[in-house]
Amino acid sequence: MTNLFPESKTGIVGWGGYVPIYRIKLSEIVKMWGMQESLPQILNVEEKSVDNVDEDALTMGFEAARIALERARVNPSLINAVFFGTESKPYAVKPSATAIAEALGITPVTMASDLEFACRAASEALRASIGLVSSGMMKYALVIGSDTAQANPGDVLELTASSGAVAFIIGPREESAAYFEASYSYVTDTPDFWRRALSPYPLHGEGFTGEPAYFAHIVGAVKGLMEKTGLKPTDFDYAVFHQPNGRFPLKVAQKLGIPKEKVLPGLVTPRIGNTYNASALLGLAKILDQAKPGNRILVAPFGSGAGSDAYSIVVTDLVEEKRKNGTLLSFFIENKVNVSYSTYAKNRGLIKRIDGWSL
Amino acid sequence: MTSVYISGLGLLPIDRHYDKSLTQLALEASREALDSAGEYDIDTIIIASNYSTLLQRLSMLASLVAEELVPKGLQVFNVENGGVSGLTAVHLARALIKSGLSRNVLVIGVDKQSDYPQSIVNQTSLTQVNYEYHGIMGVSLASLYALSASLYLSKHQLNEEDLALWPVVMHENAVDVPHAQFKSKITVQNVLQSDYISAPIRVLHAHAQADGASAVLLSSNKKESTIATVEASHVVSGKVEYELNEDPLHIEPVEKAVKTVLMQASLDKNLIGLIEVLDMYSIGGPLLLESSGIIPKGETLKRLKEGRFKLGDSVAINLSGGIKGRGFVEGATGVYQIAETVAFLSGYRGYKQQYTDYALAIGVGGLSSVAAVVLVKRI
Amino acid sequence: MAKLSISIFWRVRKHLYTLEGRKCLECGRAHFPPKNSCPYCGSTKLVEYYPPKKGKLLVWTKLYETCDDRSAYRPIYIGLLQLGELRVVLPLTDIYDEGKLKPGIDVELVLRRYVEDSDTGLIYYGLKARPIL
Repeated sequence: MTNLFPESKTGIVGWGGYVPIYRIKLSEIVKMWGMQESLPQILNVEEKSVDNVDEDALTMGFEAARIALERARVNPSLINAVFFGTESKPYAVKPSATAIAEALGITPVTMASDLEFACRAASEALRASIGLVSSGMMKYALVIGSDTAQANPGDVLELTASSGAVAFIIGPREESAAYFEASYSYVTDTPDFWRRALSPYPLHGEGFTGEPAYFAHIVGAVKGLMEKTGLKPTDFDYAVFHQPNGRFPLKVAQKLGIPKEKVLPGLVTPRIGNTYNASALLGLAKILDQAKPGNRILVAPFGSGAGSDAYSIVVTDLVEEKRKNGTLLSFFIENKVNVSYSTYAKNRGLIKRIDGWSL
Repeated sequence: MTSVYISGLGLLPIDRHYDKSLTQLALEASREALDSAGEYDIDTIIIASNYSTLLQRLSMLASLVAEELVPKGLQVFNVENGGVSGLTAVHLARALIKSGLSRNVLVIGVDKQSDYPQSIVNQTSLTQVNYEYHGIMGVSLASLYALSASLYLSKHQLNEEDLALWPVVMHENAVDVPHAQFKSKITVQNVLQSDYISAPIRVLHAHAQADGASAVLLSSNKKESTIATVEASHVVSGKVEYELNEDPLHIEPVEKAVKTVLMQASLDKNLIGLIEVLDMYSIGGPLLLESSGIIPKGETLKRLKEGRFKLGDSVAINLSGGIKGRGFVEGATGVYQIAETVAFLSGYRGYKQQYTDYALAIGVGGLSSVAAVVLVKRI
Repeated sequence: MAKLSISIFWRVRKHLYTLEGRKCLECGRAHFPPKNSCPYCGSTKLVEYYPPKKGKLLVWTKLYETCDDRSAYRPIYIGLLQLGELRVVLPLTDIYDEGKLKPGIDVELVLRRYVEDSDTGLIYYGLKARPIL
């Protein structure tokens, strides 16, 4: 099975994750907006990460990419694509990918663009990169998923929309800490969650975001992958799903017949919230921080609009050496400072101001 | 050898002159200088100003002033050189006189900061760091002086209280200075209780927004009104990023400029009994005095505590009140410094008098970007 | 109303993103920002120098007197740092406990925003330093 699909020529040569240092407890948000007090428990999320005033999706993406590069140990000029998956771009028009590429020494001979597909843009970029690398068009591609996720203040989404970034350098299987056995995408036109062009915050369909969206597409993608490859739930040591809260991943695992013990190691949302494009993929990064050679990992990101991907990833002998060369995700998760709602509001730009004086 | 005589002084009170424009302030200071000088046929006007272009949008202020003073036309220069614009203008005047290209030069220093709120003034200070790097980063001049202050205090085992003495003494000195911005005394407590501008520099270590103008008439002709000479002067560039200096606490261009001036005049530094030093954020005082070699390293604040440097001391420092008491008017300050050294040397118009022959005016632009020194002698 | 220049930043973007300095081949000293001649010996024989990601804090200050477009970042923490062979002054970030800012602590370089030009103009990015946790 290992060489059946073009994906198997490629793998993860380096990976990195970044979470800002600040956190706000969900109970603070609940209190501020008079929400149901049991919501944090229902969502199984304790607190969420908050970007500092001088951070944004671009700066966080750079930090994650830098760690991935430290693990990959490749010449930046050999990276010929930089994809930035986000739904919180600092500029609606002007790619963040180019600034990151410049900062890492990857420019000028490179592809670069920002992708949008709610929370699965980075995953789409991952599949595209697998195609670019396995075809021989380039040796390495850099994929970044990063968001300073937005939510209407007072809406239940505010309880989980958080900030974080993840990055992967895709390259030849021989240089990888984990290679791609196979991948699959399952996409339909399903508007469960959206943000209009000039709107600062999204709208979502509450219950509609569940069965018709999240569950239908993840199940569709995972079942498709299993059919394509002949793999069964028991073949996997870990399963990482898109994690909008601390419950959905466990529920979808149950639907797929995957025991929760395989899901818990990659479940980061209870500690840091939903980092949108980094959501599932940070779970993957966390698994790579602890997995053993030979482990098989199921990864299924999901993005509203809607679509899901499913990957079967097998860890190689190179994982332990590469792990050592970069900061572990747990370092970012554990090192945290709690802030009040007022500081969070200031950092997130929720406080209305006008421009002052300037020459 | 042509001498450079100082024959007229103008010193406008430093204040927020909302009702006066840049041109008006310059003209007022000029008329004062011309009145006290008597009959002089001005053939050159040099304006020293840092922000006339950026704030008042006037890039040719010298022409505006010249057309009202000498309608027939004369040589005009606009000098912009950070905190040493004024001293540079005097140096330039001296060069023109000694070369014979000018005979009677009116040097006017003028700036206005009160036309905009403090946040704009803060922004303008980014033009005095390396804008492309520190300016973009938001690292203003105040923060660089603050870092220097931290280094200085820890190196010489001093604390904020020791530094607070400087503005206290400056305010004391300014009490009997007619043109000073602040003529009231303050205490060390007042200083330490004032808010931080950039720790450890506090509001009461620093200058307040102000407008002002000062003028001096320099000439190759000695007349009855002549009260002093410019004996020597020098301008030396240094490092814009002060952290690139070998010793960040040693401002090299100041050392070079003072050495050169003393050599030009063949003067022993111990014969200088009066100094006006640009004491930006208070720490500038000790930094420049010690970099010049006039006071040993680490000694300035200690000696200040012992009561040194007052009127009557072997060397009196900043009898004007410095940037805190007298005030800081950007490009105009250097001209104020020269006018003050002359006034204190001669007892001009009832100003207190320091009995000495030689006075030194020392300044820097930025922190170590450029230094200028002018030696003045009493007649 | 956009106020910040495009090309003033664009010319130095690589230097701000990487803290690229210069090393003198004659005297061996390194400096930032990159100059055309060595500030120590004056030689023009210079090569690129990139400092390590980690370094030490020498002294720090916190700047309150900022302009309006940086008011959201006030007070701006600024430090004099030793990064490899470079002695530089850089803004500091993620300072949640001033008590931890002691001379000699380890710091690391991170990419952050320096300033934004209102809601419509450019965002200037570059390296700052933060204490290593």
